[in-house]
Amino acid sequence: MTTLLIYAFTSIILFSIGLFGLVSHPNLIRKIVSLNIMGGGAFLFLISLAYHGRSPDIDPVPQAMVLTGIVVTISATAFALCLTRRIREKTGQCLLEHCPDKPET
Amino acid sequence: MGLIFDLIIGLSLAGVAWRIVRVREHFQAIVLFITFGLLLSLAWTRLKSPDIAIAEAAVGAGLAGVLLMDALGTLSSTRNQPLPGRFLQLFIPCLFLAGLMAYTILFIPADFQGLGPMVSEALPDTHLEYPVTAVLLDFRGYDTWLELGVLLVAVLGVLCVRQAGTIKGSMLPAPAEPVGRWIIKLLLPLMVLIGGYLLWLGAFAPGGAFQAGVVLASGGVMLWQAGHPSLALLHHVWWKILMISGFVFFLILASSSLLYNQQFMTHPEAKMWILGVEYAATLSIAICLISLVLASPARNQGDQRARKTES
Amino acid sequence: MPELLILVPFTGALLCFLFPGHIRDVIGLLCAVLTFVASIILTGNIYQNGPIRLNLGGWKEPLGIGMCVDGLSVLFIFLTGIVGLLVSLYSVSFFSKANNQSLAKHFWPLWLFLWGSLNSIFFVSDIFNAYVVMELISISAAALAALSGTNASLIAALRYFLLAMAGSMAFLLGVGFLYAQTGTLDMYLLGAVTDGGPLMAMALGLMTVGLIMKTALFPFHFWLPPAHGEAPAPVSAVLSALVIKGSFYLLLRIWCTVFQDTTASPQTATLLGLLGLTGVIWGSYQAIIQNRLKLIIAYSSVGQVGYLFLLFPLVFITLDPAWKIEAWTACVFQTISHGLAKAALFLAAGNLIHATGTENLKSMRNIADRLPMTTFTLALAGVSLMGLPPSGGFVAKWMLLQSILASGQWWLAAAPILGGLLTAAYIFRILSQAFVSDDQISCCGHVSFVMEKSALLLAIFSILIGFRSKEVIFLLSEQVYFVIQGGIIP
Repeated sequence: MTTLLIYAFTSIILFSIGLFGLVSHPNLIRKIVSLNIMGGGAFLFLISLAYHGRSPDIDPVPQAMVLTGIVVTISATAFALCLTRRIREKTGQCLLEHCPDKPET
Repeated sequence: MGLIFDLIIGLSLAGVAWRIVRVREHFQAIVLFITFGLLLSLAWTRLKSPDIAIAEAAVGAGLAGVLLMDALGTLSSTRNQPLPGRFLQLFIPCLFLAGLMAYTILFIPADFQGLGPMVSEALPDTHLEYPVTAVLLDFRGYDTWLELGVLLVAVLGVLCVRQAGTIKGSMLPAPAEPVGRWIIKLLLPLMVLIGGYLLWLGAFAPGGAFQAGVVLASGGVMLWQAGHPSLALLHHVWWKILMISGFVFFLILASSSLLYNQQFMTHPEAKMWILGVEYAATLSIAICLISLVLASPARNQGDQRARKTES
Repeated sequence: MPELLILVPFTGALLCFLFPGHIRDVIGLLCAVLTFVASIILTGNIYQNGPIRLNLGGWKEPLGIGMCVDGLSVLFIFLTGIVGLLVSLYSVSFFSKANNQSLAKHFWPLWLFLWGSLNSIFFVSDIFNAYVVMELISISAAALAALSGTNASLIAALRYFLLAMAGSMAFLLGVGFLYAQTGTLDMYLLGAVTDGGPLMAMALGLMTVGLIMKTALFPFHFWLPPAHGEAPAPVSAVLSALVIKGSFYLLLRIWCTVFQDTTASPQTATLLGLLGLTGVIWGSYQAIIQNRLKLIIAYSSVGQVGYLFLLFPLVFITLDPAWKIEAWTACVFQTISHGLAKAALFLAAGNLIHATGTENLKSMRNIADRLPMTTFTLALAGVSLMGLPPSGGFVAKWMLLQSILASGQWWLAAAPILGGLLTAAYIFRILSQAFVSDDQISCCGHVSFVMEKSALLLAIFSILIGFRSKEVIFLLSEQVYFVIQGGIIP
């Protein structure tokens, strides 16, 4: 039970720190990093549950969920970073502020 | 002893996460994020989830690190920016939420069972010996199929954002500073070996398509970082076909169950099927992840710009 | 049959990804027609034979993943089928225009993937599966929103995507909390759990917040207008008519199956209703003061989505079962008629912008003369949005008002009444510009037959759906899998 509690508390803290980073940082890359911390928190919660389950092995379902989740998160991260780079190329900054389009050349 | 170890991991995870959010320099934040990934894989190992530890080390720390560094690129000139204001206005709600969730956690039932016993019971029917692989490929195969779809859609999305037809466009020329080809020559066979071994292992021990694919992808990214041409030799049609192979395998499986008038996603009870799915998924995961890392618009255009200034 | 609705669009997406050139249009259209036909047949099947449940891979829940097809899902499938087919038709013509040609090769695979994943979210019955499908939807929708490649669209797409990702993370943590309490992931098994502890309440909170972020309910609506306003016309139509409905459907499903008796408290339901009400007024007001045509329509979505959330106080706060079904049907009806009307509006707006070459409402004159068909489409869709009889919007708002009065929650009546007036204001603002004749500005572009007709058909459907309320009520009250506190029979 104590192991579960320690890791579950950690996961909650990670999730909240990630959320705080997401809303407080204007920079896009930092926002994406923060989202990944949030994801890490959610995954840690699932795995601490898996560890807690009372069976000889640890519960494989949360493990499979986290494996799926990791691949999904990296795909989403890569896509978001690609958008970020494109925005930086076009506006010169990594912010969500609106920047008027330059006339197409 | 275990308790102290847990406490140390927990505290350092929280500490590193806090630093990532509060540090001024973006570069430092990314380095810390890679550390965070490694700490997380330590936690996975402690929680007896070696599969996730491998995937996390390769993806969370490795590929995500490369991606972030790449994206940071020339941004380093904006370092030492002041931290944003409104600290308390945003911090207090987050703290409140954390407190609320932490309180909730105390109510997790002590006799929590999960689906573990059920999986062990049904495991003999799956022809697989390792429960995590059984859940991924058999019980929750639909999730795995859609997850391969997510990878594929991310690649499509990246192509769309870049307005490019193929990933390969951005693969040449290789970056100017090779990491050191001799290291690659040494490491690459090892990584392919590890990937293959993990794939083979997946049927009865920790390992499987995900982990193998992820390790192979890291190898591929390294290969490309070192300026090795071998990835570029692959024709772009093959590139596409490999990318979709895992998804297509599941798709064929799903359609064939319709033809034979069985339930959706049922599969023939044969070892061959499992092997096929695993190999196809491994290849797809590896190729898609490599594409996601390599498909970086800035590099290509940066090079063009560099060439323009040279001439 | 439900399997085909997922398999066909996914196969089409892969083929469109593999093959070059105009074969893509052919494949895309073929898949659209097939999926449409499958949607119609499935709707008929469920109407006649009642709901189905499938176990994927032959494993029973909770070990395997289930799929559930009932009256609620087929209504969303039906909406997606009609909008999907007509948008696909429109797109063939839209993307053959010279300046859009290079976009077709990205549009088709992403759109078919989006269609397939929307269909699969309407069948979802496993909460983790729902998370994966939602990510599939978010990525393809965000990529489509960035399709035009302008600065504004890229920023809007990323803003949407970051919000959607944060919503997914909250949802995932909610999945964790539910699993911690119950040890299962299947919605119907979760619904059978009777003791709703703090874990369930937290899960409800996290999942609800995550989903309303994606549905653009009032305080989280800010991402919607730029994302939907900046995309190419067919994409805007899909995003506004279907994508936000995907997350709304999931929210509805979760509230009705997982949390209904135990956790869903009247206070939370009232809060959602209040946010919905604010959304209706705020969104419609913003739509009135915008000057760009597509932004008006996008803000109108913020307003129209608000109506959907009136369902929560009406259904989850004790009420006579008969009225409960009325409220419930009203909101689903609103979803369908809004989906059809909004898609029609965005496509018609696309025609106007294509013909006049401007997005500014003030410079769109003479269009009633030059593009009578498109103006007629705007008017028809406007009728449905405003809720004038006999349109689908009218039926929805009428039923909504009736159940509001019956429930005694008078303050909610502000939404259909004020919202209707404000909607009328911005629709007439668009239309009045259309009839101003101005010799200085001439309308030059030619709009193809298919583009005009597909928008018109959508608008006509949004009116016609008003005559089919009996069937919708039957599907929603008899052929669903869950019980709304004694109201609806399983």
